Amino acid sequence: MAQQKAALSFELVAKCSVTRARASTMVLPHGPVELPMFMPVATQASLKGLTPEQLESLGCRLCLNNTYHLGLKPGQATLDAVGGAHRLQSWNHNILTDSGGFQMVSLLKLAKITEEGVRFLSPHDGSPMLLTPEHSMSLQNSIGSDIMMQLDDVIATTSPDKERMVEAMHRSVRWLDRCIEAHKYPEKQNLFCIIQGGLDLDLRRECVKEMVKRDTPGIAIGGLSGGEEKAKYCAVVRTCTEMLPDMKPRYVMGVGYPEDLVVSVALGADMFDCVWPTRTARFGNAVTSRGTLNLRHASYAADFSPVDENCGCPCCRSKEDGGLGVTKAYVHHLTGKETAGAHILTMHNVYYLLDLMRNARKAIIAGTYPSFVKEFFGKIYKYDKAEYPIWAVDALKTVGIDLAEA
Amino acid sequence: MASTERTFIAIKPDGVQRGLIGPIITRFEQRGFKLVAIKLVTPGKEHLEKHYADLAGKPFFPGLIEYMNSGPICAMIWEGREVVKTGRILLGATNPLASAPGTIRGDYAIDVGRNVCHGSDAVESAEKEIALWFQESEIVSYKASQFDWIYEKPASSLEIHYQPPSLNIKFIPPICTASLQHHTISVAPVPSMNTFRVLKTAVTDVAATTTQPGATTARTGVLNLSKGFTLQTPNFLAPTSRGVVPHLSPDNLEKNTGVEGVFVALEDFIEKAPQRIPPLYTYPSTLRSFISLPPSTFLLLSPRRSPGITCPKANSDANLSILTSVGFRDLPVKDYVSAVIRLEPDIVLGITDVANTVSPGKNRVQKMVMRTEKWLDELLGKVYAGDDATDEKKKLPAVFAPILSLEKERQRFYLSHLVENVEKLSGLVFTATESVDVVPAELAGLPKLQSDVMGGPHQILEMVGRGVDLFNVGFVGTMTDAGIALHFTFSADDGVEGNDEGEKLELATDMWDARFATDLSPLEEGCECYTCKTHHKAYIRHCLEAKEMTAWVLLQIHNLKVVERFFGGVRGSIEEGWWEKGRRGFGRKYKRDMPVGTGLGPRLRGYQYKSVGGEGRLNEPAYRSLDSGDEDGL
Repeated sequence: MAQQKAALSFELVAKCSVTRARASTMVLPHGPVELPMFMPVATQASLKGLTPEQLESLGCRLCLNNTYHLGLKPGQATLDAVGGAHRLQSWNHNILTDSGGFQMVSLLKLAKITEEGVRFLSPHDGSPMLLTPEHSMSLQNSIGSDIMMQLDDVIATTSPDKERMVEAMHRSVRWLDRCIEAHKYPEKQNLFCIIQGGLDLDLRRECVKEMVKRDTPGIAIGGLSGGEEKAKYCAVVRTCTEMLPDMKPRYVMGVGYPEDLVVSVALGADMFDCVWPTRTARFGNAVTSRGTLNLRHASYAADFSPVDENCGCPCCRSKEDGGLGVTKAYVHHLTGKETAGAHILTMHNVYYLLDLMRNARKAIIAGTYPSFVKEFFGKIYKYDKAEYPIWAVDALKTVGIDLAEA
Repeated sequence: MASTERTFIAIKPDGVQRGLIGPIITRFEQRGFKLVAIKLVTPGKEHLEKHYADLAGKPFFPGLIEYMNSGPICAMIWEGREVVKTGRILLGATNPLASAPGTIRGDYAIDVGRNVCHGSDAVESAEKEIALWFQESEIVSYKASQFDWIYEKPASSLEIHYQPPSLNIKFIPPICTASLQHHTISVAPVPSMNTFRVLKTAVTDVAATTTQPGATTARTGVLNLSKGFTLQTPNFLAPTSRGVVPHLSPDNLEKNTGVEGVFVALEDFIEKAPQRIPPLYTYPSTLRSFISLPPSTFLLLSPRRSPGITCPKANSDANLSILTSVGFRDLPVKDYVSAVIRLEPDIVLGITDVANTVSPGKNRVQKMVMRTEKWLDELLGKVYAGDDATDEKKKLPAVFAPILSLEKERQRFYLSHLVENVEKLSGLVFTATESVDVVPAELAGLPKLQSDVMGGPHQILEMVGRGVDLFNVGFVGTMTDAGIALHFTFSADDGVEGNDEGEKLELATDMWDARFATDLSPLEEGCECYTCKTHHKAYIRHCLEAKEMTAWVLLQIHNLKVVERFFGGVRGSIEEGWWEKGRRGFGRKYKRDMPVGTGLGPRLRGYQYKSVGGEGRLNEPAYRSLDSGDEDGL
């Protein structure tokens, strides 16, 4: 198979000697990014009330836009007229776009998948529409994302229909070929393949083989975080990373819980995205080093401590330290009543996850990732080992970390 | 301000071992405080852990407990006016290296883990700590013979700290105009360090020689607030909701706007009172700190938002009816007055008793006048209570007295009361535009704040022309919420005479309009705001259309910049002598009315807007069921 053009360079900086964790640097068209990393999701070219300036100040250099949403609003004609999503949102760093297929299936009940593409009814006027791999590429070319995703045949991993699962895996491979064919700017936009195959490890292995042959600049593991058991999720990630080439970035789609990130990094994954940290912020939930706190709860009404004492985000840092010195009580006071409350917590949550991955990277480079993982779980569960989630303990055991050990 | 305030002071094991008990006691004695309990104890770990319960979980906690448990501690209770706060000042900063020389720690200690002494950080914690360390029987009550040589007058019964609302409503005698009772608390008038100076009065076409200069013409001035803020007037305040300028997180407010002052309402911070003490009342620091207000922005505290929403229940002599997010409540006037002291605003508004009815009857008017006066006196009494020759007086908030929305004659006695107390007032505040004309000449030198501007720049110019100095610009938020971008400038451009209304320029543009879908120009050419420098119309229109909050953030930043620039132009015109020309030109150039919003928004009707019932939805439902069989629903 022909060598694919890549608009990125990938450098492996360090590998953990115990786990499969890797630290790497990827240079994309809009600048370098350091892996492992979390990518916040600016669904409609806006990160939920934050200005691009604020997002940048949190240290984010790669965020997501959703092709499906941008295809609806502002629409492809506008994107072409404006000159792409970077110009639309005045974001001079990198953008990753999904293919649009996932939203069709998850948001639209009436979507139907055929070999041609995804058929659905237009949310505008109810007219039947078809999203093909070619159309997805065309949209993503208009968006101008630095990383674009192939259109894949997404079905819930929990689906019991084995035959359909096999079909979806093979179709995803065929659609990748069509995507590669239709991609207009491989020299300035990177197309990533997506490994499918549900929870069936053999199917996943087969898919990895096929996808790796196509030599895309990066590789995603898709179809996960759809409600499957965590143990099975870990098995799939482990199975895939085992076979993946070292010198390509690995992106596990739709993952955003801190524990999932830390375990997945240990299993050899590099990139993650999820709407959860930003969505949950709007519900008043703070992601912290001691777990997720629901700040709407009355017990925080007069809690004048920072959202997370160990956090270096602009909201948690004290005023003396140049931060805003926001307290839990103030977030409680604003949540659900003022948009600025959501902005503050969105900043915190995004910073927390970006920083979690920055610290993971530092630990990998310093050769201390196993102890980083232990400390991370210890803090959340107050070192009460009985509370540690079994799936995490088991998954980490497979890569040489025993959380039960002191 | 009570001289019976108590604090818990402990000399830690290192202080005891180093023989510092004497020197430390000396400092409190010499300052004038009274020792009411003292003992040497080694209370044990469990007791110390209780004492430092709020620090449990900190990494230094075990070390702290060990240190405190390493020898005898000298525990004391000291009494006196503001002894808690002053005690902390005598001790110095927690970290001795940051303590000023002359403080105990600044003179005797180096490491934070060996900082010699402990002092309660707030009245509440002092009470807790005293209860933990001492039995009631160990505390001695006596009158120090030097009392009268230290305190200038008997302790005031006014408490600075929040007290649960009392049921004891004072009976106020019915008022009759012939024998109007004043409720002034007799304190020597001490001018605060809040000052206002009129710099220049505009040159006007109309001869205004019959009235006081500076009273009914446009003027520039400079308002110096005791806490270090300086404001050039005419100028504006940004209204807030729950402590934020809507849509702007504090970092955005600081970095991307030129807002110099904010208008904050106490009613935004009261939820379930009186059943529960509002959290803000227990917050150990200032309101500015609670809402993370940028250090360069001053804070005006008002009991109510402006415009206040009419409450179904009338005010009483002791309570103001307010609207909170959980419905209508009473705000005891004395709570507001206490809050003013605790929360340390830079400007504080007196409470206005507003009648529910459009045209209140004679009795109600009398009540309005009487209550407003009484409530102002309570506020002044509290603000100026306990004022002695310390630096503290410099930090007094600037009190702005309300002018009622009544004809001059009907509030004559109140106005003369204001004149008598002019030295304690730092400004005037009113809502109705006519109120500016009732201001007596003696008060003309005070800055005047119009607490709500719902119209727009034309209305502001009219009021500037009538001598108003400060404006709370409510209309800006209304425009932002509607997705409308302002673009007007106050310039020396004389405009074209006889322009039809239809030919005039728009003051603002509705950004929901589809014609901006691919428009890459900024909201306003040449605008220096973050929004205009970074973003274009197409993006703002897209965010509105997609109902992304960023739309309103960017619009608010821009709209506030337009207003900031507008006031800059107005000040310049008065200074440079083209005020009349600019004002005339503005009227000829711009349409009178703001465009009407056509779009949807996040705050079209929040709890802060009054529902009159029977209104339809302002926003379409966000989601519709796909299964409803509604063919168009998809």
